[in-house]
Amino acid sequence: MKNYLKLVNFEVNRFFKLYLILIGLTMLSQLIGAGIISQTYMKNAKQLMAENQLSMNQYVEQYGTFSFDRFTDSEWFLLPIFFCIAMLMIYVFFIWYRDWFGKNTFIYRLFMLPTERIAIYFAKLTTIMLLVLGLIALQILLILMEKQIVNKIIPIDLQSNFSIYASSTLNMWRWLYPTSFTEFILVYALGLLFVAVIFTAILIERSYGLKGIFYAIFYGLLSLGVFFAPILLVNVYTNYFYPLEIFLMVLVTSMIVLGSAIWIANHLLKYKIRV
Amino acid sequence: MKKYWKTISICFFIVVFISSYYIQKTAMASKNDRSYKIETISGNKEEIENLILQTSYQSNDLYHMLYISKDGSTNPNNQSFFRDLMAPNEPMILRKYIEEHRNFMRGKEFDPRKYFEDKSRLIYTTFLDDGRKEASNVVTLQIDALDKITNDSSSFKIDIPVKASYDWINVNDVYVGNGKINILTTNYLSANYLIKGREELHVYSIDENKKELVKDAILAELVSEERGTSSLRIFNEYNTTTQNENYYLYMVEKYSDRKEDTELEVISSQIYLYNNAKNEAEELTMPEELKPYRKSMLIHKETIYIPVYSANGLTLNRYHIEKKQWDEPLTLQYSSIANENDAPYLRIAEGKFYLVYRVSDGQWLSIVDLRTGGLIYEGKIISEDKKNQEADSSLRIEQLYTMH
Amino acid sequence: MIEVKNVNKKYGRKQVLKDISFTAEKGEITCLIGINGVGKTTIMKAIMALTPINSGEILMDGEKITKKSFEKITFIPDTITMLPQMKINEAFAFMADFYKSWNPQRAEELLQFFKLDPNERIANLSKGNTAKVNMLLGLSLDVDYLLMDEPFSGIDIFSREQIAEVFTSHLIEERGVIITTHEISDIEHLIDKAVLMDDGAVLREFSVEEVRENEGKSVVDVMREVYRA
Repeated sequence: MKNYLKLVNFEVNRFFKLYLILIGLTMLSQLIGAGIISQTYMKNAKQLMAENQLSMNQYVEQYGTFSFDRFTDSEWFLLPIFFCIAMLMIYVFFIWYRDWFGKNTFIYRLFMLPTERIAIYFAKLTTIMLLVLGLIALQILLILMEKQIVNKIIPIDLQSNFSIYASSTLNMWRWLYPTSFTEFILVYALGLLFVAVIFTAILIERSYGLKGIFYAIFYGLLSLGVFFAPILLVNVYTNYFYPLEIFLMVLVTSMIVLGSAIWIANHLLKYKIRV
Repeated sequence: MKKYWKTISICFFIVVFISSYYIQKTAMASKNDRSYKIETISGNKEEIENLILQTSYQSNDLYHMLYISKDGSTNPNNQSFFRDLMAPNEPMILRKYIEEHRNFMRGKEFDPRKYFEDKSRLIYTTFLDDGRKEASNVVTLQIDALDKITNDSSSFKIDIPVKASYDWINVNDVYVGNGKINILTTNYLSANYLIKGREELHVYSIDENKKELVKDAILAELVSEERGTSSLRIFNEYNTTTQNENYYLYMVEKYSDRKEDTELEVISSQIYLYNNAKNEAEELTMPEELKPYRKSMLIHKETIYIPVYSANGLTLNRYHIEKKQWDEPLTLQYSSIANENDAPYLRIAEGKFYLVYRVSDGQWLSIVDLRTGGLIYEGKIISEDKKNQEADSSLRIEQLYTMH
Repeated sequence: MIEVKNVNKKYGRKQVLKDISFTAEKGEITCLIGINGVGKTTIMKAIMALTPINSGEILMDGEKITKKSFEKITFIPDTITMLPQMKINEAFAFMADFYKSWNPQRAEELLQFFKLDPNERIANLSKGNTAKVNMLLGLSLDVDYLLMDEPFSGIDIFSREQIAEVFTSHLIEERGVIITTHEISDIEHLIDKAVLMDDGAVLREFSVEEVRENEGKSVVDVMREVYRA
């Protein structure tokens, strides 16, 4: 357990510099974007008001209000999010392969630690989760800051109602921040499940070489199949199952997928892995 | 410890921001929550014992649903994720069936119009594939019956020949009596280059014992050219399953072509009654002075009701189908602040009528006995948080259920 | 004692270890000798459970390798097993963090002996110094058994001498060492036991002392005999 925590810390430290860069880029792009978009809007609005001699109210009547979506739908907001997602997805693979490849063979050291090797697997899994959730938390802070920036530039009277706490205002938001905390846990548990499956697939590839690539793909498809089996069943027997039953089925298959991913990973790390 | 500051600060950051986000979100959601109660003004409280009002209100440009009963209000959308899974948002009337007959209800569509219930049985009728048949000119009707006492269920299918290949058959109502099942359907056929689109009103009569089709009666046909300028309206309640409706009441109207900026002009308007016991339809003539109010007709048992609202109250005109005569109208005096967009809600059920209308500080509920015409209950639906001024004005009554 | 018993291993269709058996005693230096690609490194990885074997058994003091074994046995591969972006003292901290058997005094001692700067990044070290750090990380663990894979290959002459000096010092005493080499000359005088290998099989296992006393032959003499045959 103690070694597991040390390993998590170690893995976090290894990514930290890149993480700071990701955070920095996101903040830079989003904060500047919030400023630019609201300033452009204001400039345009002022010009229209001056040209047509409109009061603020008349302007709102004719042209409508500024919706915060205009910013959250813009590249300034979305691109850094997609970039972070892409980087973390790549890192899901890189977190393992970086230990095998390159001049140093750090994987020797990791596997020679006096600790269960599965702890390395869990530590890497935890690290990915922490990195993802860290960015998710950051985005909450950022959007509050961005709202403040917009408020500084555009008078409230020209803005439509917006609250990040209202349900499903932004499409992106609905996925990253599900309505209730329970759903939040479920969505990210699902994410964890998929990362675990990818990790195990990587270990299969690492254990069996070229043949391992096929095994890994087969394993990945099989896991996906097991996971989606209830959903397939539900599609064949439309309306047959009640929502609670469907949920329980998905829960059971998820447990099977997660359990087998961990069991296989443990077995491979103990007996099959090669460096 | 110092060594771990990066990990610790990430964890701290995650916990603080994500938890505060969800705490705030829940707090905000409940801030928009409204609660209402029914305050009894006069009459016996037992009258509202089984009453549930399905209402909606608008807040922050979003509609929220709210159930109001004698115990106050509950928001069905505010349920936790797991409560939602246990009891999803089916029409209230069917929820009881799902709870009591979980297996029978399995795989059935939750549309109250497809169900029939009496003391001993629950019957469900459906056209497989919604009546769509690509190749052959046959559609399959499935009838499932549950014996509520023995809990045995049976099911049979009947192939019904159809003239055309319909796109969709919509079940409007089911009547069961004397070994006969009458299913009132609207059959839709969309136009293509070969055929004209049409809409037909059918009654399929099934002999329950022989398990065969006795009669396929076409009560009305609207052909595509007329469509859009003609309409078919069924007055039987669609969200009820319990009462056996001996009559189907429907209206076919045709309008002149719409010219710019003018109201549609009614060319013809015919109202029909279909007698389920005799399997025959007859046209109903209506006094001239009631014709403008025909669209708000209601049918309950053997009586047709036509409500007429005025500034000082409601006049409920009554026509007894079997006696073929217009009875003395029932009247209820009240003064409402309602405007045109805000019509009162009227429901007739179980020998009573329920009327909900807007008053200055909420909504007023009156219950009147149909037999005597006497007011037996009065109550007021008021917001429990008085600070919220707009709370009263945006509440809409959508349905009124009496649950047993 | 490390016992390697009838170990077989295949990579695909190629058999890389053919029924390998030998033992290595504590307090002795055992040398696996053979040209590149005969399976020396694979045996070491197999002992450390870093690669699976198809059959056979490997025991350390009569027990199979488990996670606890890594406090008693360590492996120094021919490349460094630390992150290149780490400084030497950070590498020390990492080792101290995970190994109970890490001996900081000895690490300090070796650092001085090798004349290395603890604030230097591993990536910036010369080849010879990298090898020294690599060796240092292994030697500073208070383990009973040390496996070293080609400690002298590709290193300048002075570094070689320094490393060879380590073998005669107290750092090695009492421990069991398995070392691989394809060039015996540097360490012939150091080793207690030789295991001659070719093409994934053990050709001969002998005590250097016994052969010298009984037959009057050096390791190279025996190698000539075995490989020419």
